[in-house]
Amino acid sequence: MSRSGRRRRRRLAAAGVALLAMTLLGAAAGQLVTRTPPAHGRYGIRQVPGGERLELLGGRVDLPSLAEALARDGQSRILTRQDGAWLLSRSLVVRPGASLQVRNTTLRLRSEPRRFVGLEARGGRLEITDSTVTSWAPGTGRPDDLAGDGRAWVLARDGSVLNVARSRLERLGYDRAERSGVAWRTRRTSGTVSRSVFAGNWDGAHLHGGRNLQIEGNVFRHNARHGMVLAAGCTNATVRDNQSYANDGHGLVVAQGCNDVTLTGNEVHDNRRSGVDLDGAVGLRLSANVVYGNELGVHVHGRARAVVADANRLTANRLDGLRVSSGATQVGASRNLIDFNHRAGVFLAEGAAEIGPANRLLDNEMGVWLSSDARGAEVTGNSIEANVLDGVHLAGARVGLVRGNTIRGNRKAAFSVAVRGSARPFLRRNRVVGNPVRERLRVEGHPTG
Amino acid sequence: MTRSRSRLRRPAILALAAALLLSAGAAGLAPSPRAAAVPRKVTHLEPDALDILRSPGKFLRSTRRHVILRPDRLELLRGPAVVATLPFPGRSGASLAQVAGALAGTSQADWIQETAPGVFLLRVSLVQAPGTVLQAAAPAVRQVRLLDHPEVYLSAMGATARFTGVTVTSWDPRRGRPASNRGQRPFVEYADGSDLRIVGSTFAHLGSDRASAYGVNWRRSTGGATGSVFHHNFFGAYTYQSHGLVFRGNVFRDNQVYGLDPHTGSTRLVIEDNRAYRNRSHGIVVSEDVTGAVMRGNRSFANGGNGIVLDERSDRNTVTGNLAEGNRGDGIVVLGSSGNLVRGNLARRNRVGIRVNLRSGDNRIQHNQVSGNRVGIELYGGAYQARLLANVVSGSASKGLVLEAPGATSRDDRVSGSPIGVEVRAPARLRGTSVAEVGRGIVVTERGIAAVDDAAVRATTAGVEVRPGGLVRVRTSSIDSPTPLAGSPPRAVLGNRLTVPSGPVPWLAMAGVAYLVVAVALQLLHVSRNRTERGRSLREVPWGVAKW
Repeated sequence: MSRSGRRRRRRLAAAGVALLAMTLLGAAAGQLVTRTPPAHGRYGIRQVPGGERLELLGGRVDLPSLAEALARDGQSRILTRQDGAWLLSRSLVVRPGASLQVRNTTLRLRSEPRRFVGLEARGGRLEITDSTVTSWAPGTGRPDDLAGDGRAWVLARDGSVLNVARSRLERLGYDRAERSGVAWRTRRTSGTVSRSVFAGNWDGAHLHGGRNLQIEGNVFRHNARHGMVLAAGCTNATVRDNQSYANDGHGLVVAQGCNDVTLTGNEVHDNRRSGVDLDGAVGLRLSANVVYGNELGVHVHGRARAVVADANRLTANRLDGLRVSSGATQVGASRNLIDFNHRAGVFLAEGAAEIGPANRLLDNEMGVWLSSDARGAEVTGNSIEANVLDGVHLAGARVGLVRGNTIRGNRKAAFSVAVRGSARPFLRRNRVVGNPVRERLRVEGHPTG
Repeated sequence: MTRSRSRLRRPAILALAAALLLSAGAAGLAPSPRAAAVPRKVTHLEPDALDILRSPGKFLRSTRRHVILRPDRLELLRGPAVVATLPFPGRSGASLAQVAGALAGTSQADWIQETAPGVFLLRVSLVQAPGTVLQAAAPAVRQVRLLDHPEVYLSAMGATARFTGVTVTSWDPRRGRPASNRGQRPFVEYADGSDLRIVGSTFAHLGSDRASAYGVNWRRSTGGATGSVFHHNFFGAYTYQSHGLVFRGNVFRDNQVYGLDPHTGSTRLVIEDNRAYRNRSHGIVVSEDVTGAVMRGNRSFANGGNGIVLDERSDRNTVTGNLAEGNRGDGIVVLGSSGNLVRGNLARRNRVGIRVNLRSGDNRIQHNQVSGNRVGIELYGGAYQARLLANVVSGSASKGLVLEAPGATSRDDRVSGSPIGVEVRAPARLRGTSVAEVGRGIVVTERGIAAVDDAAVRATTAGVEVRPGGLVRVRTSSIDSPTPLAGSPPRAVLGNRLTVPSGPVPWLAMAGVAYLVVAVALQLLHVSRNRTERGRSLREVPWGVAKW
């Protein structure tokens, strides 16, 4: 190779190295540019009964910058770093105009008997993303499992925004209204809850007063009371694709004053009480939910009104699949598969409900139970088959209307009745086939309540 | 002509039909006849076998004859009237031979008669009054024959009886053999505080479908039977509201309905080491509130119905170490009964090995060996929260486990050798379940909801198959199958080891590769030699031509 050729090669190599270096430098510079600059917030420490409270008064801060500011001011004990996690030892309140980001980290809230702290947004903004927030008992080096003597909590109220995404909020709260775990309280407070886990809290998540809440893809489990509660003032909420199980109370609760709620695609199972408890709410739509292994599958009560349950699966609940009681009205259920419930597929205790069309009530102990107070009930166009005892139980002489159903292959009778002959008006109005008898008198085993 | 032809043709057609039926039967095509369930038509003996003690007034219009053993005498009655009274030590354990001896000198000597040494024929009913004790023991008493008559029985209230080494049968004197059941055969009934103990004896050809007249009945009584045989009775032995009875080492065979039938509120029974076979319905069946029984080490086989049955609120019983084999129905059946423990039994070659259905809750099915049944263990139709633990289910013709009991759990069960290992038709949990040598491992049907943890599945077609509508979560399991997860996608899959076994050896491809390898090797060899040659002679050899 000639000398000029070698020179040319050297030049080319040098140019390549320079290009590579520039690329690397540019990338690094870009990284620096995209990093969030340290935020400047304002905070104060307020003396309150029982100690002091840290308050964020303005600015948008995250935990490292807050810890830095506190350390600068000689308050480093309030927020310390241990084992890769933050430990908050004073209650922290986010005031209007302030915003706290909890992102990609673990935040432990000190929680010992008589000394436990809260993370509260009171008019401010709290974002919990890709993080874990738990109570923490430094003495034991683990989360605080005992709620009986008070426990750390997370709260948003007074028009705050609390957004929780892809996070775990565990072992929080105790039996006190605003400190029930993770709570959204008062009107104008809002937020979104998505793809997060609420476990071991008093209430998994308690939402009160928010509008347009979106609760999607979360897990509410092993909470001491309910999995998720939508309480008064939560209007136009959507609860979609969540799981709620193994809670000591209900799986999902929609309470009085909570209107226009859609529950869809949720899986609610193995809760000690009801899977879905609809207590006095108005305008609820349930669809494509799978509810099993609870005491009651879906319980509509407390004068709840305008409830539509369509295409749900209510199965293997310890009492009833769907129970309508205490004056609930305008309850409609259609296209549901209601099976394997240990008492009744549908139990109409008191109220007005239209059961049908196209529900399938199979393999329950009783297909439908009409109490003597269920005079406003209509059971029409359903398939009531293969139930362990009877297809339909009539607990009174004239209870509701049963027509257009296929009542087939129930193991004791198509109808069981408390008053002999009370099934007679319905025998010709339904397709009654393959039952050992068409009507039997059943006096034993009346369920209570 | 036509007529004669049809005459000719008819036997031919019949013969053809018979031949077809026979061949179909031989080929197993014709359905095997179900257990010839005896059509029940319960009647009542009126007045009943105890009324002569309780309400003799009912016999005002009757000529039924009784010998009543009282504590101090024998009373001979025709209808309500006493025709003779004989002093007799009824309280002190008299023998049946002594009873017959006491009658021998009277004009009623043929009422109870020793027809041959040790053989006694009762032409009338013998009734023990409260406080009496009767012994029937070989060699003094070898056979007790109860005349085949609607109003002949052996009964007692508040009395004690011991049968040792004795055969008690009905008797048809015209034929000189025990009577066949025409609906009113003699029977034995000990009731209301009696104590009947049977040892090394045989009770046969007794009873019919009359209330409390099924064969040998304990009614609100104590005692039991040991080392005895009950055969060709209507029910082999029957109990009603009796407590603490012990049936040990007996044979219940060839009875018209059940072998042993503890019934209605009988509690704390011990049913141990008995054999029940060839009974037309079930071998051993406890029914209606029979609680706290221990059924242990029994063998119930070749019965027309099921081997062992717990029926109608028969709760909190223990069924352990039994064999239920080759019954036309199922091996062990729990029907409408709860809180029972079925443990360590062997159930094989039945229709279903162990079956639980009809409002049966919280039953524990543990450590059983279930093999060669059509279905191994089946929970369905009202069963709930059954707990299966460490059962070994093998060689089921159709399915190993069928779980259609909401809340059922299967823990550490081992299933092998069936087209379907486990079929989940309702909410169920499987933990540590092992399924091997099956076509489809775990099938979750359209109404099934399964949580599968720590399972090991080895299946030739599909590991876990989910039908549309079914839900399943599979966690930390090992699934070895050409299709580990088939059908609808599971709700969650976490920490599993899914293995797709390598397919059959591709011999053709391997042969092709081998050919190529050999060709390349030869070519290389050729090139190297060629190079050597070239070095020597500089002669070119055309590429691809072997030089040796």
